[in-house]
Amino acid sequence: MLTEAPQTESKSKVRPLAVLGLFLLAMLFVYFPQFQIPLWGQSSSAQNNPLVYIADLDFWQRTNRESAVTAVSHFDLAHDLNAVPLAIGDWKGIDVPETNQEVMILLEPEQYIQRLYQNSAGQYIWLSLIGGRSSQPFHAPDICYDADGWQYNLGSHPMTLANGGALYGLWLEAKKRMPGDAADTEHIVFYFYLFPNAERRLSDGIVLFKLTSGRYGSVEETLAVHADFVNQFFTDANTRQE
Amino acid sequence: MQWRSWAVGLMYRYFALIGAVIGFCMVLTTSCIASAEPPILPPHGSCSLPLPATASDEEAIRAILTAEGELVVAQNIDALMKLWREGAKITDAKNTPDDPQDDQAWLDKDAIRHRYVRTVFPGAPAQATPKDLQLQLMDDRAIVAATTQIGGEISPAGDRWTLVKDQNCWAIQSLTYNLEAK
Repeated sequence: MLTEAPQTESKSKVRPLAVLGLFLLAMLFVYFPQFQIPLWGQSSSAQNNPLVYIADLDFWQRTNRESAVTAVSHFDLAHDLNAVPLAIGDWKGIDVPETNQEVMILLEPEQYIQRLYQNSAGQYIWLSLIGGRSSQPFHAPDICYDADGWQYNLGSHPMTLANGGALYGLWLEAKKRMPGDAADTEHIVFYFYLFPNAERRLSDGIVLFKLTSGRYGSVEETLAVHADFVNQFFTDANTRQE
Repeated sequence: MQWRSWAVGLMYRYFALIGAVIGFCMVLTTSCIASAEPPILPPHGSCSLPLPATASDEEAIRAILTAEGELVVAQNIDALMKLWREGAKITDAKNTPDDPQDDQAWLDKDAIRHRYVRTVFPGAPAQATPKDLQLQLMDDRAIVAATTQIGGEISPAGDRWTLVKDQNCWAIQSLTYNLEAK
């Protein structure tokens, strides 16, 4: 009895503290769910899975369209972008090296991939992957089209991915009457930027994922073709909450 | 044995108490969340500006257009985008107001944001002030013709803004610029 008395006293002090601690913990989890991630010892999926990238409409500041996307191939400068599949789904591609040296001099990209893909319906899409660690390689496509005398409209479009979520990109509907042509040449462009992590540091590298095609029906119908292509490379997206 | 059964009993009571507390907390907090009010949307349009509650429609509209110019100079993209409505549009009339065929459009807020960041901000305008505002108020809708001076470039009556009043806040629905004929 002489030895039990201090234990009982100790338990009577500890028990309310334990109950209070559990109560506070429960409150913390319910009202501040953002604490659950560090408390569970998890980090962002982009840091755990090397094939998860941060996608956004712009590389300057985050937009509310930023999302974490899961890819089937590496789209970062730690890997050779040439390893991106040439044959994927219904699409087969060929490398078309950039012959205009001015492009390389102007952009100074760390990696530059240009490919022409075709599907079984005979539809073509150009894929441009431009990687760099400064803002220089990332001229907004509309600025280039504008400087070259194209007329365009610009908007954004969510591409629904097979396993859930939507990947947002900017689309461009551009047209120009070439010398000697009776009709306008039309381009539909869809593009977004990929970051290897949520910090989005330029020094970690950025990859511009850009698709260019002719018009296949309406802009919406053409973007559906682009969406099929994007779905071959990206499986799901989670929009980041601000 | 007696001591052991007493200890086991105490342990069961202890865990039962903890379980009851956790359950109580979950029920309490879940019911709080379930009965919470709908999330309050961040202020938009004129309601994102420091205007007095007594500001008239015309004062709110003028404040928005003045703020738009000031925020362009400050390159404050987040505050700028609060001035625009969902589904907003910017059109470059290319100085041919009677010919919409050659118009160039930025459709919806993502595109408008892109235009600010990639086209407007790189010019680093030191001044972007709407002048000679001519307002037409029609209930919850307003059309404003304006002359805009961006740096040294003056566009007399070249801009037409439309604004819409929604939940007592005025916000920009569209801007058409380069309306002055060559």
